[in-house]
Amino acid sequence: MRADYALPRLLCPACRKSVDKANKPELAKQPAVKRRAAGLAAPAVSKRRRVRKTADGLLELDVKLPSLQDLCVRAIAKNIDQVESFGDVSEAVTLKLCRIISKMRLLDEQTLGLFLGAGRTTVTLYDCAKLTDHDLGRLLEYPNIESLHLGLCGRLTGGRLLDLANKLPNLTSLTLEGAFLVDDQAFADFFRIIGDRLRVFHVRWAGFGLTAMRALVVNCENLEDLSIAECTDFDDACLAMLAPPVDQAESDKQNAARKLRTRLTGKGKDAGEVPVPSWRALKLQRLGLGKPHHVMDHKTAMRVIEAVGHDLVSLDVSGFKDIKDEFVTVGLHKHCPMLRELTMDECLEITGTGLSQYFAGLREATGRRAGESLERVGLERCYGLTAETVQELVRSAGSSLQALNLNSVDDKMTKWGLMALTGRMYDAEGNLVEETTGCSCLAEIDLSWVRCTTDAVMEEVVRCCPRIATVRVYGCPGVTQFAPSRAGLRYLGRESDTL
Amino acid sequence: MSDTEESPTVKLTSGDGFSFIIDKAVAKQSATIKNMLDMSTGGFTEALTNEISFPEIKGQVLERVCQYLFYKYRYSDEGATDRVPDFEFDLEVSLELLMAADYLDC
Repeated sequence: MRADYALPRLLCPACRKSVDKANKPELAKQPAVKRRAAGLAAPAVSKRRRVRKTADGLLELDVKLPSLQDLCVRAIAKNIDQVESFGDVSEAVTLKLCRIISKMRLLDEQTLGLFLGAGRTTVTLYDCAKLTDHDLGRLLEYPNIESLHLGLCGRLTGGRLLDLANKLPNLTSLTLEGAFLVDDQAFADFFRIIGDRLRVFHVRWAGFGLTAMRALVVNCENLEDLSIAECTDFDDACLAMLAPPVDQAESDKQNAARKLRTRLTGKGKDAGEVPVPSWRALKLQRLGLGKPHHVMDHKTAMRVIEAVGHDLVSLDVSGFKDIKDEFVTVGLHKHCPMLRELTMDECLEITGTGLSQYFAGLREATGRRAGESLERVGLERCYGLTAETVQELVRSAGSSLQALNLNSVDDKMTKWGLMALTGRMYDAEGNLVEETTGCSCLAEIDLSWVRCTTDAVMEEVVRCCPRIATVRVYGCPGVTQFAPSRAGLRYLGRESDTL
Repeated sequence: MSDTEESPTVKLTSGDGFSFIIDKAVAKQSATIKNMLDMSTGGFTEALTNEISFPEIKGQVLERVCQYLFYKYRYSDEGATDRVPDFEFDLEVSLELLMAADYLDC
């Protein structure tokens, strides 16, 4: 109880004053130790600071010494009109600068000028949260822009998006993240205007739905790289648009849109009756549909892969919890001969047997030369994976594999599966049955929460994979500080590094 | 080797070969250097040798960085009051300085 009485806020103003006075020398002593250079002037300074704070009505929150980063950004922003004086700023430096400024959340109308320029064809803005719709309008002054990346662009409106399509004649690549103000219809209008020009389109966290998707498949026939991730309105019906329509109503709608488009572009001007162009699949090389908010049906996914699989180099179907083994054994096997990057995180229905069959088929069917197979494989949280699956993967793609993600694939995995990465295949009892080249190109591996990862396993893997540089081992208590190390190799998430 | 831990200074080497020997307490104004020198968290080699090399930072820039570290060490307790002089640097190096500052987290 006595301690409570000592709290200043419980005392009347007069008593508090006297208590404060009594405590003051003690309190002042503490910082004074640090402040040895300032010496006796210390109490005076703290008084001054307090006065200043109240005088500004507590608006001056930045009472700390500015960091060197702050100082630099301020200096750059202040002299933004003399950007030439910074010398030759390369693309890579600009990107890095944007990353730093975005990380500090300082990208505003002042600093924006740093990333725009008459000669720039690629504009990347990672954090547009402080840029108003009006500020984004400044992009229109640079018609050379070919590729545009707007991260966290929650203030971008549909009208401005249409302006981008109208006034940037060279725009071929667009990435939007968090464009919440742009609605389905605005996206559709955007695709109608930009049409064939669009080659790369990535959208994440936006109201991208049915109308937009229909406009996309009808108008943007030259699209090569499409990614639609985490859009709340993107559902199974939207996904189905990538395949030929089965529903008559849907088919009619698409045909009507196609007819309109042909008429507008003037291709069918001479003929009185406009012939409706037939349905054509997009010639996609990269397709990302990761983390959908709705359930994606297995049959739809199969139809889509049949339609667009032929040229696919990269495919991301993370979070398609409904797709079955048939998707890999038949769909990918038959229709995706060019596939190099496959991400299937959290596809819960996929079993180890199915994947093994796919990997084995990959090897036998094509008879490709070494190095022409899967390069990046992500199988995070595909709990059905077994040791045989990894063995098959190494047999068919060992020499080309550069990155492998086996995060949380713990349920059926044994250390013999991980040993396969070295090229030595063991059976369940640990007898060596076969020896191949192993993963000679592997640079990155994620073995987090795969509990059978131990120092002994890592020893073999590191020895046989000469290029390995990043190993993620979160939640692997078997990997300790005695795990093998060498220059250029780093472990992320190792328990002994943090405890 | 453990005796060297007592050394009060640390040597910072730039990519073009300039070296700056400064007080450890001053150098620790940078969070990155502080972590490098902290034996309790990981035991970087730098903590044993008391030498840190920055192959991507030029001598001219590293000199500015050292000056800032001293500036921060001297004035950090005072905050941004009128008594504290502004930290001056040339506009020409500001870009490189920003990248160095980002890496060094200071």
